Amino acid sequence: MATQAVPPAPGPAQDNDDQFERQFFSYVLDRVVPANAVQDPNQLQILSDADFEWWWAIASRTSGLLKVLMKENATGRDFIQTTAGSLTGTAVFNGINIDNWAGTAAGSAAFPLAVPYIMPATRVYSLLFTDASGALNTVELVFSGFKLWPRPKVG
Amino acid sequence: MPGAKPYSLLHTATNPIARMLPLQKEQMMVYRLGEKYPPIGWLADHCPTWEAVTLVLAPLGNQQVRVNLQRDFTLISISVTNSSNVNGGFRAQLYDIKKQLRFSDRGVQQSLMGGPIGGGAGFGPGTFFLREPYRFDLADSQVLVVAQNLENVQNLIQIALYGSALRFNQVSNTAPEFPGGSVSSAAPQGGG
Repeated sequence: MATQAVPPAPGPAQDNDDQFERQFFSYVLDRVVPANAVQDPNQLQILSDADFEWWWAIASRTSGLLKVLMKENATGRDFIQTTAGSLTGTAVFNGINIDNWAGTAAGSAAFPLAVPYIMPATRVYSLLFTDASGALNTVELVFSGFKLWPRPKVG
Repeated sequence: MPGAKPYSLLHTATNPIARMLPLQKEQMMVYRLGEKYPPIGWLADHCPTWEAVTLVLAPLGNQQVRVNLQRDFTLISISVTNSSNVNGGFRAQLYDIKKQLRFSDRGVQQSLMGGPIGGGAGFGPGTFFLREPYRFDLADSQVLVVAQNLENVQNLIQIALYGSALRFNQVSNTAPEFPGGSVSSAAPQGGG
């Protein structure tokens, strides 16, 4: 008589299982932004081995007089935007003040997205920096989260 | 009274990090409290979005701007910076235009609305997380920002509204769609 596999008991844990193993991982972007640069372009590409689940934005900079724009190249999506720019006295929208976006982990200022975002493997993201400090601005951005490794189904 | 629910969360967006907040740093810290997957709910297919409202306020002047929001924008947190804060910086008030709702009965002082996340000048991260997210769920929603400068000098301020918006190419069963179809490439729905 063949033994019959006992199905696991249903429950919240099983219902929430998306069949991925999460590996802690961070993508890092380093840049020395030239003085008074306007929308200085930088690119960050997700590695081809796995999708990335983005949970935290972490940033350090020399001067807070720095703005950031973030775009997803494949879709053209702007993560940072406003439609109010023409009304506010600012001629060009150069992004969010970096201190409004994220801070350092040491300062307990890593920003939790709360709702994670999946960055597909090989996708490219553009980060554009605008400096108003008048000096070199050394920036490091960290996208912290998880690599998503598909888990082979058992049985 | 049987059946009475003085405070019901029915039809209320639930903050995905609400149950993952330590008492000391409730504004910022996230950890998992015996829960492997957070209760994202209907925000699962959404995308992080920062609406960065930048204003150049004249001395003691005021301005108002109207921001078009992406589909199903759900406000999660507010962070604020300004260039001058001697007399309190500025006051600001937010309105949901489509629902004709205001978020406060009068302007909120900048320091009580939020602060910057990074470079906290000794105060630590100052972003303010809503206890429950606020959902701009009507089609073509707009937020009106009214700001009044409290300073005697020009004040360059930025109010960053962080939230989650539905991806433009994501079909949703819960969020209202723009006229013409569920996605931009979809065929028009119905007649007329």
